[in-house]
Amino acid sequence: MPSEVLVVEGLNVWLSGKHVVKNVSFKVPDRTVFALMGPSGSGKSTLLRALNRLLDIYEEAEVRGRVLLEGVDIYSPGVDPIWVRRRVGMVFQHPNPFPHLSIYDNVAIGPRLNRMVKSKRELDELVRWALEKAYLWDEVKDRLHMPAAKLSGGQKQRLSIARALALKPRVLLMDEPTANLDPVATEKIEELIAELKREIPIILVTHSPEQAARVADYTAFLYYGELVEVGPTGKIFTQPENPLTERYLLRRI
Amino acid sequence: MGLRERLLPRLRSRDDRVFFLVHLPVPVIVFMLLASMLAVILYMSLPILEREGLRVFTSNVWRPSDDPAREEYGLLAAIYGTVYTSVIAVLVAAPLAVSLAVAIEELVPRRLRGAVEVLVDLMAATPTIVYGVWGLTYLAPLMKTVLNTLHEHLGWIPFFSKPTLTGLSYGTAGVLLGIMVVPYAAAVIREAYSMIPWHLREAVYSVGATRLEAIRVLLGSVRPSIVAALVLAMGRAMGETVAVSLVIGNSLNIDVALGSPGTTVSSLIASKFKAAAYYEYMMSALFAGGLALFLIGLAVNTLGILYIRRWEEEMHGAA
Amino acid sequence: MEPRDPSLRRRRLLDRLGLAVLAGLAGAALLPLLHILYTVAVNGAAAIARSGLVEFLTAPPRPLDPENPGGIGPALLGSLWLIALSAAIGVPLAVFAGVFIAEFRRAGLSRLVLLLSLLLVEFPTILVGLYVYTVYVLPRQRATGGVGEGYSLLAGALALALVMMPYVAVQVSEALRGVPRELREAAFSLGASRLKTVYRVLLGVARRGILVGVLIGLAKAAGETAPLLFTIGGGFEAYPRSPLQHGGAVPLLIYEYIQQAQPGYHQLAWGASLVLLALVSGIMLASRLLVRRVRL
Ligand SMILES: Nc1ncnc2c1ncn2[C@@H]1O[C@H](COP(=O)(O)OP(=O)(O)OP(=O)(O)O)[C@@H](O)[C@H]1O
Ligand SMILES: [Mg+2]
Repeated sequence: MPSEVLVVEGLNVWLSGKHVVKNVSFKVPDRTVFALMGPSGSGKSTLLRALNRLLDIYEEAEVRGRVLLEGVDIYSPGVDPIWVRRRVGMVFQHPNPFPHLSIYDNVAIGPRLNRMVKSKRELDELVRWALEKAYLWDEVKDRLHMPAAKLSGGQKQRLSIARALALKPRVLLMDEPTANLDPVATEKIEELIAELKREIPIILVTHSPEQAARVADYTAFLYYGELVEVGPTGKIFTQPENPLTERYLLRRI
Repeated sequence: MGLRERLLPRLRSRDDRVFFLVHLPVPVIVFMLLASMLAVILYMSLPILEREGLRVFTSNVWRPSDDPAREEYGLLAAIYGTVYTSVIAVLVAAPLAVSLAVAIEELVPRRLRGAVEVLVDLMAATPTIVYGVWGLTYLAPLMKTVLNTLHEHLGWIPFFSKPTLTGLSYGTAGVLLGIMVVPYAAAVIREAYSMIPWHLREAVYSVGATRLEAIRVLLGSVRPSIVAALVLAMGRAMGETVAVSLVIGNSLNIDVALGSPGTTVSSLIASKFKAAAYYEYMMSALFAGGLALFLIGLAVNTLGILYIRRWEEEMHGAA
Repeated sequence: MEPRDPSLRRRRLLDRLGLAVLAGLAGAALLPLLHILYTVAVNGAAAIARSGLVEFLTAPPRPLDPENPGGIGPALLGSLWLIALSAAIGVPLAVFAGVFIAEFRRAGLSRLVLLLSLLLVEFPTILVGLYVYTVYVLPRQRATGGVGEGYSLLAGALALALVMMPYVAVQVSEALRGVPRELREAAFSLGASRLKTVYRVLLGVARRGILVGVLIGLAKAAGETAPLLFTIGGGFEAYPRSPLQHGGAVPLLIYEYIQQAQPGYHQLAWGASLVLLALVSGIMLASRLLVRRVRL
């Protein structure tokens, strides 16, 4: 098995005919944080949604290219998108637990839908495990059956992370997970990312170079759909090869 | 903020005050209208209420007489029929309306959506009397076959315990009402379903839901709207007159069997009104029926609102 | 690793099955309407063809004369009276109320009026009929004497106006609310009084929405039967000479005729149903051309 959990080769995405992701290739090694940076509208979210075939639910989307998840091309004909999504967790920019479901049910929804557990006890354990991983267990263990709508923004986002983790994914995709959070909640999520990468690779879309510098091992820079530069974070920040990257880091674009 | 400030608009200039004063008749008229409607119905029911008390709602008799002393009226069968047929209607309409709403949002190709929307609008706009004519001519014979077949094979179930001679029955009335209220319920559900934020939809699919599973979860998130839609549908079904009165058989009959004929408050009013003028108390009894109709409607709507309130509190109230 | 997960097969099957059931139920919801449209078209057209369209729309009914069945002329005239009068009474008041609701939208009083209007929309129409009967028909009956007196097209029009008014008021208020802020501000910056600005300019800006609200309100009124049962008194053979006299209406004619035994009556009822349905669907389609979404 290759050490790269996810390999993207020549990926292209069109939205309503607009070429949004242009011939992008990169590799994500296991147990690393891979940051995707780029100005607004550069196609980061679109690229991320191509990695778990979430673009399938966009009628206007068209995808070409290869995305290898542990060696399997997720766009090859025999692959079921559900099989893919069950192995790729996703956390969104807007903290989005299901407001009408309880905290418990929000975490349990993935395992239940995907028939991952055999008994109630097993499910209880999995939910607890995921909530602990997401640093949320201590705050909610006494009110697991309260609707998720009542949590704070940061708690909601950690609940979304727990929901994704409960699938025991092979990769975690995060689309600006801290964009809607205050600094304290942001710090907590960043700690969490550092902890989680000890087990699975994380692809993190972020607007903030500082965040990338803090948590990412690798950083890629996307500009109008093109992957301008990719490499170890330290190198990207200290000796960028492409002038665009440098200008972005200096907040000129 | 005091009641006055909350109730009245802020009028910043003379011009605003003039504008407000010119429109002051609006709230006055609306209040008076509603109040006088209730007052009239109550006032007209007084004679029978004074004479029979609450028995007029709890007994099942209809005994007109030239001698006022021997007249006796009881609305129980009509009240029962109103509730029974509208419950059937909601049970029939609920799956149809939910499916229709979801199908338009999820399954109908964009090109065809307009055409389906026109059909749904037309369904709501079709005069109820046309439903009645169709129900009498086509639905009743069909229901007769269906109900009698069910009676033959499943007669031990109370609902199918009676055959029907004409097809004019509780079952037919309930089904017809259900068909009639589908577009209203579907419109409310659809509106709510289409407002579900896109990110929730992405969230369901991201945990590996199939289309059907996603629809189920998303429908759960608009449950209060579904309840609201069904309450609205039930209210409309209870108030409906002519279509029901054509297919229910108009007989004062309390029975769970779907095949037996019955009546509802509004069809009772419609069918007895002409005769009522010749008797001392019958008209008053019909108005008491109107009062009951209003009160049942109020009760259903209040329960619906309470349910939605509780849901909202549970979702967003203090932890 | 096996991308073709066998446990998924069952879910995929269930998915397809469930979606098929959903589509089937949605189809089943529309089926009755399609059948209604079909049967009304076929039966109605046959009935109208026996007399000829013009004769059917103008002549009095002769249900017992198979050679020469006549039409629904008097009832149609009654319906036209009812629609015109109820519009004349109801629409101005509804616009007035709609303006109040929309212009003072933040005030509790306005929200209360909106709530009560929504309540009135859901008020059973048969109760509206009883109400008008009591406050308008009955006093006139007492004044003129005998049972059977006092009914008039005007009474029916009052009832229909009451049915239509709350609905139209709500629609007008929503149309006004839909006026973009910039346009609203531009209108007010013209310097006219608020009354002039709202009635001359804003109503004009919102005219499409208002027109659709009014049209659908009229369509509803045209199709109502229950409020007429105790107000217009009926009579389908003679042309009403004045709205102060009793008269018939198309929905009422359908209601009475379909309950008769002889097929001649039924045919007239089907023909009348087609006329009514054509009228209502015409209004619906026109509304859809004017605005994207119609609320009923
Ligand atoms: N449905 C669509 N149809 C056509 N173009 C779209 C659609 N959705 C997004 N786009 C375009 O695709 C491009 C990429 O959008 P995307 O959301 O992936 O960017 P992003 O890098 O995530 O931006 P942000 O940082 O603001 O989140 C944008 O230019 C956007 O305008
Ligand atoms: Mg984005």
